[in-house]
Order: sequence, then structure tokens, then C-alpha cells
Amino acid sequence: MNRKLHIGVMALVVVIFALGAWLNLRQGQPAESGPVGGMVVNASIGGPFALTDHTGTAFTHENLAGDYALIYFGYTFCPDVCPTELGEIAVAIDLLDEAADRVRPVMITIDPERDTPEVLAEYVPLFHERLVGLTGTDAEVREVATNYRVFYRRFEDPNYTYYLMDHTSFVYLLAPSGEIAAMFRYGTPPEDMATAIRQHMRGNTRG
Amino acid sequence: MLKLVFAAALLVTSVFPATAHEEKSETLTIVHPWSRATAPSQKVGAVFMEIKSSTGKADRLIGASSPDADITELHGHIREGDIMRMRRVEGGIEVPAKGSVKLAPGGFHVMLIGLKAPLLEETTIPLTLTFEHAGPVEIEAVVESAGSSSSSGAEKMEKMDHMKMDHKKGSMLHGAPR
Repeated sequence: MNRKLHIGVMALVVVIFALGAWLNLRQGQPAESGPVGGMVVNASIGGPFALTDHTGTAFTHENLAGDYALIYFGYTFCPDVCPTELGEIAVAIDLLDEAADRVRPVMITIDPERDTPEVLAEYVPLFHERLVGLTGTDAEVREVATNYRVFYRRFEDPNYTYYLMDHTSFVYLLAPSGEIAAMFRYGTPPEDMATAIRQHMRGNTRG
Repeated sequence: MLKLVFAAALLVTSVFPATAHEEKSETLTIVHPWSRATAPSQKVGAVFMEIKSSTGKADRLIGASSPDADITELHGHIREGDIMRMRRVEGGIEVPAKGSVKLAPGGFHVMLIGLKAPLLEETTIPLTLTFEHAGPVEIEAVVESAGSSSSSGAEKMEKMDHMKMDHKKGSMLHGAPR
């Protein structure tokens, strides 16, 4: 059983590395072929989910239908990478001015043990007034993360009195249709995210 | 030996909470130490800064402590493909001779674990950095917004050039006995 899990994780790592390499190639292409700073993604990523928001209310993919969304997978016991990305998402949305209302910022925790709705309720407003924090059972979080090709794993060391989470750090742009329109890797400037979102809104990109 | 550390800190209490400031020891300058606001439920924080050395001898940041946290550790990230692994830095962070090292988002930071109170924007966090050669250096990190990606101190200084500094405060900080 454990061995199966191990093989599964290794397979996932391979898939993610392959995806990373592919995205690298995509990024090297001229801007005309895709959104600036964002990568056009094939349809097999994303999909339905059933989670609980930071107010304790059930929240599914249907709650996002009709709007754009910027989705980030992170955790609150993460003092660096996650606040950085959430900060960039907030800046990107604010850069959209009058179109900002059409984009919903969403953070899905990969650490449901710590990140209860109560914990998320205190956390999300620090970044953006409309940021939605989502959590769920281990199985619910595992399912949405798997569908989004998010790798995460708990890291524990006997010398630590706490645990950390290793995780991929992508921002996903969800189109009103529910399909993933673009992915932004860690460090993408918010200006590039905003430009890519505007391009999608004008409908002048593939995907 | 009691080491005096002179802080050339310009703490500007204006509408801009996160202002550039520097703290100096005889050989090291700590440029714009800053952190991010946290929620009450969030028990960790990170402190970023740039450490500049004016001597011909390399030094090493080997530890840090703060009365505001139960544990203070030096952390860094290992980026494997697109997977971010945050880890404790063993053996310290090198400050090159006549050079500088940046503790910045996505790289190194001083991690505060078990915060005794949430970090509030516009407040400061006292920290003692311990260097292999320079010994302890006391600093105050400025708390910026939760999602801040603070530009470097130098950039902030430039941005502030045209802004009115209405309140300057100099302070003298004392290093802990070695």
C-alpha cells in the first residue's frame, strides 16, 4: 500500500517535471503565440470540485461559473512564497481597474489540517477584500489538487516541532466557462498576469 | 564585551508605513529589514533584508532571535522544477567580503515561528542577528502589508526622494553582550 503510494507520488513528480519542461518551452515562444506571461493550457487540467469556503459554506466550481478566477494553492503556515503570490494576485486584479470585478481571487489550501474555515477567515482579508479561502477534507483537497496537477507533500523532520508543506506554486486563470485559460509560474509579474487576463477578456487568444 | 551598534535608521511615520531604513555595525549594514502583517491565526512570519559588508573578510549570518516569537530560524527555498521546498538553512548564510546578500521573497528569510501576537502593519519587530565574526547585531524590522513584495531599500529611498519626510528619528541600539 505504502509502496503503491510512493510509486504514485513519484509518477506525479515525473508528470509535474514534464509539465514544467513543457511550460519552459512555451515561455520561450514569442508573445504573439499566447498570452503574455501566461501559458495556454490543454483541457485536461482543472475540473469540478467541492470544498468549503472561509465562511464555512459549501463552495464548488459552480460558484465560479461566469466569472474569471485566479486560483492559487497554498497554506497559511507559509510565510514567504504564499503571501508573495497572493500579494501578486491582488496587485494583478487591481491593475484591471473596471474589469477587476470580473476576476475572483481564490486560495485553495493544501494544508487542511491547519487551515480550517476559521483560520482562513482571518487570513484571506489581509490580501484582498474579495479573496475566497477554500478548504475541505483531506480527500476533497487531494482531489482538487490532483485535478489541477498540484504537487504537495508534508515535510516533517524529527528536529522540527512543526511541519512544512512542499508544493508547486502556480497561479491558474480560470475562464468563465470553467476551463483553465492560463497558468502563471512563481515570480510572474502581476503586470503580466493582468495583461494575459485582458487578452483573454478580449477573446483574442486560443483557449 | 558590549558592542555598540549605531542605527542610522530613518523611521518615517508618514502615510508610507514601509520606509527604507538601515542599521549598521562596524562592518555590516543591514538594509531595510522588513516583514509582512499576519493574521491572528497565522503563527509564522518571515523577515527579509539585505546585508552589506564593508570589510575584506567574509562573514556569516548564523542565527537570529526575537522576543516576538518562540523560535527564530534561518530558512531558504530549494526550487526543484516548480516545486518549492522551504527548509532550515544549516551552516548559516554567507555575507561575501565587500559584497552583499539579499534575504528576499523566494530565497532566504529569517523565519519567526510561534508568533506571540499577530504582526501588525506599521509596527516593528525587534530582532538580534548573530554573525560569525561581527557578533550580535540588533535590528528592527518594519512590518508591511501581508501581500507586500517590498522593493529593495535603495529603490524605496529613490521613490521617497520627492516625498516629504515630516518626522525623522535617529536611535542608538545596543548589541547584546557577547
